[in-house]
Amino acid sequence: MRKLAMISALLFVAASLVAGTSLNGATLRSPDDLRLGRIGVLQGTIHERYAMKAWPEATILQYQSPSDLLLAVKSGKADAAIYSDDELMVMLRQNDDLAVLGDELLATPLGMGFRYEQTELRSAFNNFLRDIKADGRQDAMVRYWMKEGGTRMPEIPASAENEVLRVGIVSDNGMPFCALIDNRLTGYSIELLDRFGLYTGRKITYVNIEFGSMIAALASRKIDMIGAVMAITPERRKKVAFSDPYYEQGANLFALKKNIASLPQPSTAGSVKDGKSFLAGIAESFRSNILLENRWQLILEGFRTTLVISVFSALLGTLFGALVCFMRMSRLNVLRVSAGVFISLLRGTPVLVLLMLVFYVVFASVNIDPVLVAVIAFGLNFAAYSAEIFRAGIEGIDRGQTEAGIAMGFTGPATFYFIVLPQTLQRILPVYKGEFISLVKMTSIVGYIAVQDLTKAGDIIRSRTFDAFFPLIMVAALYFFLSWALMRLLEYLEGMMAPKHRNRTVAA
Amino acid sequence: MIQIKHLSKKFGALEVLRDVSITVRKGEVISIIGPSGTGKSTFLRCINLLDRPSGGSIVINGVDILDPKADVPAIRRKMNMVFQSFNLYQHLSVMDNLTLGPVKLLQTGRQEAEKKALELLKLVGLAEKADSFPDELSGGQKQRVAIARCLAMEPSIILFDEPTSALDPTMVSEVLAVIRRLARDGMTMLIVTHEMKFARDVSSRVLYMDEGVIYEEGPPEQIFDNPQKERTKIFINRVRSFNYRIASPDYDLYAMNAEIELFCEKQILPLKSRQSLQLLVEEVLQICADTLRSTAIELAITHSEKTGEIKLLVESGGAEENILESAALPDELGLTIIRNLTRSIAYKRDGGQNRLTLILKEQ
Amino acid sequence: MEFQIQKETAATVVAVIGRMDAVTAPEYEKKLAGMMDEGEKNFIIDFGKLDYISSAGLRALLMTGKRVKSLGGLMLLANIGGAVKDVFAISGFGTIFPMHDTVQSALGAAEE
Ligand SMILES: Nc1ncnc2c1ncn2[C@@H]1O[C@H](COP(=O)(O)OP(=O)(O)OP(=O)(O)O)[C@@H](O)[C@H]1O
Ligand SMILES: [Mg+2]
Repeated sequence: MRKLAMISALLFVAASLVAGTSLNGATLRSPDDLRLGRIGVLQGTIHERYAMKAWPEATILQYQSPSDLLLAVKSGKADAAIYSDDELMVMLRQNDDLAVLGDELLATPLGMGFRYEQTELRSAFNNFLRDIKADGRQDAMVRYWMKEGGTRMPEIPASAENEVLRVGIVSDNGMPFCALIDNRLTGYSIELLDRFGLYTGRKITYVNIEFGSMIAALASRKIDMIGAVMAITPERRKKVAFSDPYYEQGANLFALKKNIASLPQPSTAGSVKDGKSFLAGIAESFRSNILLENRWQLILEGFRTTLVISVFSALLGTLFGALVCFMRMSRLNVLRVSAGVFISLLRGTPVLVLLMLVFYVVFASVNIDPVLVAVIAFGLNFAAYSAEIFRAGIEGIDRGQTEAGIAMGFTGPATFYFIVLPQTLQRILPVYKGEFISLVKMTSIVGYIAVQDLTKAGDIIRSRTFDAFFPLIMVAALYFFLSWALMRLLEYLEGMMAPKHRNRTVAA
Repeated sequence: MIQIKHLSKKFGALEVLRDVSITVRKGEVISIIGPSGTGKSTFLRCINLLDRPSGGSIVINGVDILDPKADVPAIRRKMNMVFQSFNLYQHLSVMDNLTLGPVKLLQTGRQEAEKKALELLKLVGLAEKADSFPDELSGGQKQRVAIARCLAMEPSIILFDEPTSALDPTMVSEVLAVIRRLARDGMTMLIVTHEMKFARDVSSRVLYMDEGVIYEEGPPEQIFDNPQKERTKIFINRVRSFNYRIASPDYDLYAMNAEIELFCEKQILPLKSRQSLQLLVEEVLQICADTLRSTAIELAITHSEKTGEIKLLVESGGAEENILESAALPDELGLTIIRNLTRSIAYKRDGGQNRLTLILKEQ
Repeated sequence: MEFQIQKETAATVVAVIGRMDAVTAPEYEKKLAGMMDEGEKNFIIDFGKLDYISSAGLRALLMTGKRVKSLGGLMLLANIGGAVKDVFAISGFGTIFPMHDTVQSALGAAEE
């Protein structure tokens, strides 16, 4: 009996995890109805803190990007979510099954972030702000981006000076502040920053960083200023010197229309329209996610970046892994122990942590291409694993093989090269291939250090099209294709290594 | 060709070789015999420096190989080794196993090396296996390929470390035949082996190793038929005889038969002799069934390589009696069989023991 | 030791396989005794697949032979070769039982 009860309890939990204990029917009248609900927020924003205070008993779900937030609400994982009102307006314009719930929750001032010692730069920005307020330019900008929903960047000449100003932004933040349109950064923030560049006579370089890593990037001098949409809060003030507010931003709750009681329910006719044709739906998704605004370029770029990072970190990792393996098997204690420590350390560190450490600590004050950082971090990780694979492979070869070579008159290295190595390669390739594929998939976290890889490209597109599923599926398919292609390549190399034996065993 | 003086080898505190000195001349075939663990393999491995000696000197063709300046790989090329476990290169075909050394080390052209390899494979009777891989060969075939691989390097000395110990008994002779042929052709060889008959036939000199030294050395006739020293005698006798103790009438007939079989295989006795021997032993024990209730019986079988004579010795304690005469069985069947199988039966009371000696008829 | 038993009209053919020695001879006796208890009394023993026989095996043959006789039955030995034949020869056993080269000829003899 008890067993049965336990199983049914488990099943219930599982079912609710899958379906979510989602609200059935139009049950949300006001924000108060969320007391025990699930509320999505962007991680690390003031929305998150607000939600925790306002609905202490609710489940607060944290998401990394606005598109994830949207996805959560649309798929019923969250009953409602909080988002900045200007961006929300854009989002609602493209998703007619969503609506705002209740009144504005809070209004927060936004500011550009600097390090405290950058007083000069900060006051320059404040002066700039005062100027554009005075001559009405700011009002015009707010009107164009916020009220009219504009999507075209005005032509602002880049400063002729050579001095570079690196500004951290979140490229998939979303309109009206910052988004990639036609592969060009567009939005209120970008116009403001471009104009500031012109004002101070500096060339602006945008660095795309996850919002959560923004402050770390500023502190470690990866960037000179935070240009992302960041609310001024007392906590952040401890780390960041903010400019005067350049915008006052509100935030609202939004939810699926069908869950909001006060709204007229979307008629069933709507679903007829949705279901007009599955194929037509796909064609439309294809058009908006790939063709529109030349988004395919973004994907191509991302695909290339993922490929480059995967292949080069595998190469680096293999070479370095071979070296570490050599050290690990050396007769010298120093080498053996240090290789052992290296292996355990790297295998014990989550790759994401390793990636951040390399980027924000090791190369903190070096201006280095983040792709290179990714190659180094993944290469180090791969080295630790491949070193152990190599060692197991080499140690798995019977000592007699080496002895036969030596006894025949080969030198030690020649014996290794002609006899041990080929057998080792034959043995380890299956494991090595598996490790390589997981490396390819592992690279999808490089977004954390401002690299636009395939995953990030998908996120950026999602942030523009607010299509919850198509970009994800497309990205998944592309990863699959990439893994498959690389696998075939490895198999080809494998075939070249032992052509005779392979043919024979196949024929036999 | 090889002069070894005061060679010693320690593994940590374990002193495996203490003081080994020997000179090997060109064309000699030297068998090395001795109990397990006395350093026979270690001795061979020291000669080509697979194990580094702890002391002494080894001079090969006038070169002191322990001199740090000596080109050891070059010396090894002239002195190849055949291992107990074959050690064929697993990733290479038989042909490539044979050509790898010549092509990479002797700078022989590939075509020439392959031609030579094919000749050698013919020599060991495996030409049709040239394209096979080691894991497709039987143990005996592997070892013959290993010998051919060795010959491909055109060595002037070959070291064999128990070349047949890892083989099924049925495959021993094919490998030994190849080595015999090399001996006939005048190859200089050092062979560690447990095949006594083979050692006797093939060697010009036999080394008996024990306690980390060459305990006795001499021509095969001396070592096998007339060993001079105590330990050699014991060893030779033990190798040549089979001893089995039976302490109850419910003895395990099949376990004993299996051991007799093993002994016969080692002695390379013909199938007919094996069957006769098993029958003889079973009949004797049948007759002894009563005796076994009160006392144990010691069986010993010996085989003389020189005369080919197979002798069964039955020893029992208890009161003086010739068990064959006190037969407790209702009929004479067993006794008839015993009489017909043997050439002579002798009974003797000796040192409080009944000792029955039966000599098998020539088959 | 194993047996292969085949009933013919004239007799039951028992093929003995393997070794007939001190350990296995009693099995043979038991087997034949069992069949006699079931009313069988004519036997042809096929030695074609027997590798080895010792006096214990011969003795078992004798014992069953005696019992067959007392039942008024018949026991013929057939197909004896190789090592087994040698043992028959050196023990003088061959003269005790009628021996046939093949099972067929033994069957023919049994029918008469
Ligand atoms: N690499 C090693 N490290 C430590 N001890 C070793 C090593 N190689 C051999 N020995 C020891 O040295 C002794 C002699 O070994 P060796 O293999 O030379 O004997 P062997 O006469 O060839 O015996 P067998 O007839 O069993 O092959 C053994 O006690 C063995 O345990
Ligand atoms: Mg050995």
